[in-house]
Amino acid sequence: MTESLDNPPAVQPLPRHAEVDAWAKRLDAEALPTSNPLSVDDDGDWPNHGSVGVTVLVSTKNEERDLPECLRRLRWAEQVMVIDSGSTDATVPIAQAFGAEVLHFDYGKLSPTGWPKKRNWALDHAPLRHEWVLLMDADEHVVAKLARQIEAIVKGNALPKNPGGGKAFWINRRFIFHGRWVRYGGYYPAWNLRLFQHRLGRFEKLTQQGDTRSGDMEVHEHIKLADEAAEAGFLDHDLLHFEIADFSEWIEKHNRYSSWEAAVARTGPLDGIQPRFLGTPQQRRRWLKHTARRLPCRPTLRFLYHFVLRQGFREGRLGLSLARLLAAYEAMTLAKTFEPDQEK
Amino acid sequence: MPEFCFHPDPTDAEAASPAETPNAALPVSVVILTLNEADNLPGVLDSCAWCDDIAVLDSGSTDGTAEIAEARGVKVYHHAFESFGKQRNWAIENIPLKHDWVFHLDADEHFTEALVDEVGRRIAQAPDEVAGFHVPHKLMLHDRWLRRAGGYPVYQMRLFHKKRMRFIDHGHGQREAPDTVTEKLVEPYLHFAFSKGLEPWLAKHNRYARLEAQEMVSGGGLEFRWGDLFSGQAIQRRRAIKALAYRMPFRPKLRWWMVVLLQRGLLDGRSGLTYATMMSTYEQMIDLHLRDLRAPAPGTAAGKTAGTP
Repeated sequence: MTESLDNPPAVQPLPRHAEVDAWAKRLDAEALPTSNPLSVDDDGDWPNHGSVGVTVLVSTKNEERDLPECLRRLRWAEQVMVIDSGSTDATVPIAQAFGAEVLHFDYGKLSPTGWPKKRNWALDHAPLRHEWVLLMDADEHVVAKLARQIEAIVKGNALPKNPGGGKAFWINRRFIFHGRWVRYGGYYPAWNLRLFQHRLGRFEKLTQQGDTRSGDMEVHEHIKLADEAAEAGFLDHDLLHFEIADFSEWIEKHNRYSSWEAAVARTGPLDGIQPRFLGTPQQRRRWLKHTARRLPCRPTLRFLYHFVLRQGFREGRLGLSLARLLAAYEAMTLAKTFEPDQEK
Repeated sequence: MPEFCFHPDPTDAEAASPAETPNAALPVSVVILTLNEADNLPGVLDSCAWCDDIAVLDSGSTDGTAEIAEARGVKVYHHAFESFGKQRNWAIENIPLKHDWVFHLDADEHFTEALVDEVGRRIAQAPDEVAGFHVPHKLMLHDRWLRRAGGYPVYQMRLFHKKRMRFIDHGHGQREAPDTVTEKLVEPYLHFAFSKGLEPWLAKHNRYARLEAQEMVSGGGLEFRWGDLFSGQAIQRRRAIKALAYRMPFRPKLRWWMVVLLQRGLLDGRSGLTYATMMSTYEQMIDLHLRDLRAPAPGTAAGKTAGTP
């Protein structure tokens, strides 16, 4: 199904890279994914290659390490578009080796103020062949049952147990850290709005502060749905999200995120989601954050929230370390929010 | 001025003004270690106006630090950074300085007039066996002196005789070689530790935390002896307290309360609390790095999913 977009001009994919064939051979791009022992839903029974009418948008920058496995698990999608912002590694030929179309997103030219966000831009300008889009990061793995459920939804054959309005869906992510699924401590469930009809969803704008310099992703912004989408439903199977950084890298990331959080805390969200205790998962998370911001001893509370209330202790020492990292994150945000002379 | 004062002490403003009067021919050379300090360099060089022999030792700046120094007639030397101890030793051994007495200042630090006066007096009076002076500093958070939160006075070995002093590495910093005879100055220099903002400070301390953690894992330097707690030397006491602290649970939280209550950082106002939060975060970082070192994350793409090609 080909659709004309509301606002062309659609951008053209990058031409075929010279090393595509070499990468295809080296990575054995035609091979089926092997199942992942971390998920019982990864039963190896995948939909046929290119059989599902959905456009997958994968956001990348220098992802040669993670991208092959991510794309190998997306071969069932009819269109995979990699939105790359100037990778200097083999991201582009690897993507093309798996048959993906690569669009170049130049932050300097297309988003000098940090807005539009990359994926909003892609939703507006990419030559999407399908009504349904699935948003992915390169460090995420789809499992077979999830792929089959998406197939069923897109083809109109079946809906998940909790279908909502049937036009947009939350997908739960499993956070894989230090080689295992971190189930407790507030990392699960983690619902993200990832599958929807592309006209109905866009990322909200939270601050003028530019992005989190995380290279790429909208770490904190969420998709806002148009009214006609009604309520979003929930898929029955989880995405696997791999974080293979050590704590040193993780502190570095959270140092950047906390600057961004502090900027949002100073100015308040611009076009944000309303904080509401009894609302969608996003609204509830926003409410928690909003309320927690007014409490004293925030880092300690954050630690207790993750370690005790969300049962991080059940993860053992790793749960302890993660709760401590999040306490440090809270502390960094707090300090930066009240940093003197920074009220620009 | 009441004790519970949340405004800068008026005397701070005086102390904060850089040394301006050129003190004729003070026989002291100044060495400034730099890495990407273009923003800080003009300020520190202004405060060195009294000195007739300034050398910048740069470890690969890409922001024009060297050009700024040279434009102001300061000699620039280059040496790849390994550690503070080694870098300071390299400066002592390789930079042809005019004077025997050397003051090592960092790019985010400033001299004051009073300090320059004292330096002149003390080196003139110092007996021959004195190799160097520990110098206190005023820790500044932007324009506020963290008088209590910073635990003033904290001393660093900064003024020394180049033929009598060598450094050894310790953690992310350095200390003087054992059996060195030292004295203490009274007047502080100003340390603008947060001149680049909090995020760069945290990024830098993430790297320091790694070094501290490595030092602990390799077992060096943090041996705790009860006797040191009661040592006559403040520096030895401080080291003993640090060694003891590493054995405490909830150390990051303890550090926060220590800065806020024990050191009365609360009296420094919002800046004192911010500093306490930063230090507590630093302690968290050290513990997280310790975990990295003791239980490394399975780190490769192949290691993360069994069966990934």
